[in-house]
Amino acid sequence: MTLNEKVSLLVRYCAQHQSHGFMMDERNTDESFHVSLPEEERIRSSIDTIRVILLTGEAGDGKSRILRNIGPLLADHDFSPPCGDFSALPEERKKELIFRLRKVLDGNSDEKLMILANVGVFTQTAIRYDIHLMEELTDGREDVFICNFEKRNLAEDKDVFRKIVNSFLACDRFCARGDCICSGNCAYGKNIEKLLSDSGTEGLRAICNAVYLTGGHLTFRELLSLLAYAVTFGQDCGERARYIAEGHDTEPFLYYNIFEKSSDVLLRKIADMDPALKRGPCKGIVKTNRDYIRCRRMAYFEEQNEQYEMLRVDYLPEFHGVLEYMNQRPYHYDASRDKNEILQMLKRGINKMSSQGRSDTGLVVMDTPPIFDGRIRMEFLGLTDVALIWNRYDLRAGRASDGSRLWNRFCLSYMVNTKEKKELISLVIDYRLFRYLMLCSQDYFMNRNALSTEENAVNTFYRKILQQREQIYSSIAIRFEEKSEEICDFSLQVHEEEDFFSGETSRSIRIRKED
Amino acid sequence: MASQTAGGTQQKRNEGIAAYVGISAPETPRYLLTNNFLADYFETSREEEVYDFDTFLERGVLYTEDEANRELLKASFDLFLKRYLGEEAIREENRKLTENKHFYFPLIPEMLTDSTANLRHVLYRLQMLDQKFDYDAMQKKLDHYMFADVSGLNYILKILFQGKEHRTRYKSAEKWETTEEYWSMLDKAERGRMLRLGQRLSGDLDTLLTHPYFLQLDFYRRYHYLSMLLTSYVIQYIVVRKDGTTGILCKGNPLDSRLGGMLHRACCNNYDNIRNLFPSLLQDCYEQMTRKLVTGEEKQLHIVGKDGNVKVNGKPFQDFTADVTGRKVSNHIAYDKLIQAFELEEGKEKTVSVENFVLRYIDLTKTRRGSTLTKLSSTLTTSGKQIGMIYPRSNVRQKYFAMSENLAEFYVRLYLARQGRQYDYLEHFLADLQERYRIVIAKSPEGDKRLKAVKPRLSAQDFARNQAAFIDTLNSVNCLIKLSDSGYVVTLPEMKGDFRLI
Repeated sequence: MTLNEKVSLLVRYCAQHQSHGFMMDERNTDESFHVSLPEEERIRSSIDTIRVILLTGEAGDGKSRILRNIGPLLADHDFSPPCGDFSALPEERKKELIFRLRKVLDGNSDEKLMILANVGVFTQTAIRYDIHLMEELTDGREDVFICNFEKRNLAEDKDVFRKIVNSFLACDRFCARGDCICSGNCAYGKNIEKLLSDSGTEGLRAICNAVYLTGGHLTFRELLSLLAYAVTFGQDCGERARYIAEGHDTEPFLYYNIFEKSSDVLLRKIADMDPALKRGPCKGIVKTNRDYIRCRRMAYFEEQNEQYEMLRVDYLPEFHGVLEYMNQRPYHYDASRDKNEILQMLKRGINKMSSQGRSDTGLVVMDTPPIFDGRIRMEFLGLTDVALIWNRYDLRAGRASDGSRLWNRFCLSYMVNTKEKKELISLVIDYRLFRYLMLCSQDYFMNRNALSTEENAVNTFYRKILQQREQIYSSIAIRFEEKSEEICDFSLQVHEEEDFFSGETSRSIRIRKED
Repeated sequence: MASQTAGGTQQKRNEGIAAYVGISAPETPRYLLTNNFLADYFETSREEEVYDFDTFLERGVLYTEDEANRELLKASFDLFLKRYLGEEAIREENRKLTENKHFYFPLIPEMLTDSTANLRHVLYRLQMLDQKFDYDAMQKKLDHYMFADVSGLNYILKILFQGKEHRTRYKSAEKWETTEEYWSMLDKAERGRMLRLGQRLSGDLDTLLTHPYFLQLDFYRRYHYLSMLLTSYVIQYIVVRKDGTTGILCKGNPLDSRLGGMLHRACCNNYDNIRNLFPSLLQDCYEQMTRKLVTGEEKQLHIVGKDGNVKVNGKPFQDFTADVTGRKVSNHIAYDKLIQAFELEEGKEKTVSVENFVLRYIDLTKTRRGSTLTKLSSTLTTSGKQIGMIYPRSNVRQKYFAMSENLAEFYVRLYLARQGRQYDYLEHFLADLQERYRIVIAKSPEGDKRLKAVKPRLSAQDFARNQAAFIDTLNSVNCLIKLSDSGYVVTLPEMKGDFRLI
């Protein structure tokens, strides 16, 4: 495929031309582009043991494509005709399918099922007709293959991402339009060349990763649209030639201007991450604002090791660093002894959030009843030495972790280890909570009438820990928000005494001043 | 002494209309309402007790080895007790409370103190209206719920209170005749509605008092939720008393800027419509009383003004209206004003219908703006403010219903407990709010019927914005899990992490 042919194909993938129907047609007719994604490969490799395949996700995630690709394989392995769109089924059919699914899970049916669904609609139906179905589906059964594409990060695996970029942008680089005004200075060619290079691909991958890490989701279609836009900027050769003929420059259409402001939702997200919006070093001579912008953006696509630092996203390098740290064996770290700097800051943030002014990193479990404000707080002293760990999101007691995934969240957990149960009580820390706690650690406090979502999350975590511990209530500290000479913080501790002669026990409370 | 007499007279004056409405004023703060409700089941404290550093020290249940800081510790401990025993919270929100009496959270049965029953035991009597209601069983559940907890701070407080009476003293149920007399103002349809409301209250209470979602909590949270439930039922009483259909158009968030415009106006109208219950009950009450005074088949009143005196059915106007309003003495109204109000001609008898007479009398006396009605109406506002359901909290005229974060969390908890589930789909929860509590947040045919009386001109977009704001409210108290752009699940904050999405 020549360069100009590739451009006219790519431009049709750009967001402004995008509609679901069109993209479906486009990909179905585009024989030059095919990538087998890991999900498809996993289904192929374990098809002999699978009885249920459930794929959920947004439109454009590639569910139908997988179904199309593995259609013959399913037929060979006696799968029932797949349900291509669960959401579109009438209520009765949905109900019937849920019942069929239940029979398969219970071993009461030899049927094999494949279902493509919107996760919300599927969960709603499952809750309505079979409340325990969700638990069984997510229990890690070998005969059930579930993939929620909304949790997938296409940029997570370097090789997969490179494979997509290479396959999607592959062309001869030869332009058949010899008389083109851009000849010798073709931005399309430059863009494709750069994006196919290691630094270019990694630059795009970091952007996509940042979207995922901050809680967003990039569908397969959106990724293709982004790649197409980074090459064409929504213009085909004819439009571009006219534009240049009017005396304009090609510079605004070079790959690094992907950060330029746009009305498209995804591009707007990317524009917010513009490295040029962040203060930083700049190589070369910078005289104008535009020079600085160009320099910073270009540098972003060159600096392979500092891309997260360059993107303008609060605490992204720190967050990414912690996630990488969590992704190393043994996937968990003692919260009181671990010396990771960011995690130390995070602990300080948790403490400061509950008690502004505290600066130590010793986690203290507080539980002031919500009917009171925080002017007089209660701290449970028995939990000052509580065993908390930082751990990977998918770590479960007694179950190995899937080491291949880099999640966009991690946990602070309390380990319950009793005769009856062994489990983790976890506070899930996603980007939003991470950012909030980091802000607190640096004394940026928000004034609210009620508790924030983040404060609620931490309080709930503490309460869940308290419910697990026996004798935890026998020692508490009372702390006053406003300090004065007339009052002091104090502790109350249960004192139990046995009479030496009668053997009777009595209990009283000791009060003492706290520092 | 003088004030007591005045108070007594005032109470007597209010008796007629208060008995007809079923309540006379709010009980604030909501903890006093709860204490009064508990006092319908249990005996209250027998003696005034002060709980402070010195008394605990004297009784030997508290000690310090730090004599040098004794005064400092005393001041700090007393400040802490004032807050955690509830005295501060109760007094801060009701400055009219007598200084001579201590009001606490009932951490032990001996601390239960009641206050003036402005709500006239309406919640308890709603329960009692159902003849199948098991008073004794409810009493036991309340006892366990309130006094059995030893978690959190309560563990230490219970040790401090050792030696005090910890046994709950049960009361006997009110006689059926008393309940019957209380509800005698209701017609058959109203009685049916109240019966169902009472059953709902008992059902919700049963869930609250027995389900682990509430029982696993410490005393303060239990007490908080009980107060929320009871206060919410005061509002429910007013709404259900209004009529059989009226609903509460509730903003999904009290302060969300998306909810201005038509929705705001509709919410204010809806609030106004519900609040109008009180003047209309006043009118009904006077009409009923007047009818009782009219003899004969024609049921009309004969008014005549002559020689500076106006007589109604042969009785001086002032005496007649005193009988209507249930007061000992009716206010004096000038002769010429009466002549003008009833369009009388000197010496000529005029016949007016009961409705006409009452309307003219209310206009003449400006009873609609009187203190009795203001007190009655404030029950709705005050109760709403107490649980974060009526806004703005300031003293402005146009108010509206809105769902605060705490209230939303409470309703989610109660709903899931009632369903016996860990989570449920948001739409089911919204439908339940509408069906059980008449709270309309999202658009539905059933909701449209509930709001028919105020005819809100709201588009589907207005409702969609309201639902989006409610979703934000639920999200900020960690009661929401987003499945996709269109799917949400409600759950408890402490269980949110346990929900595993596909």
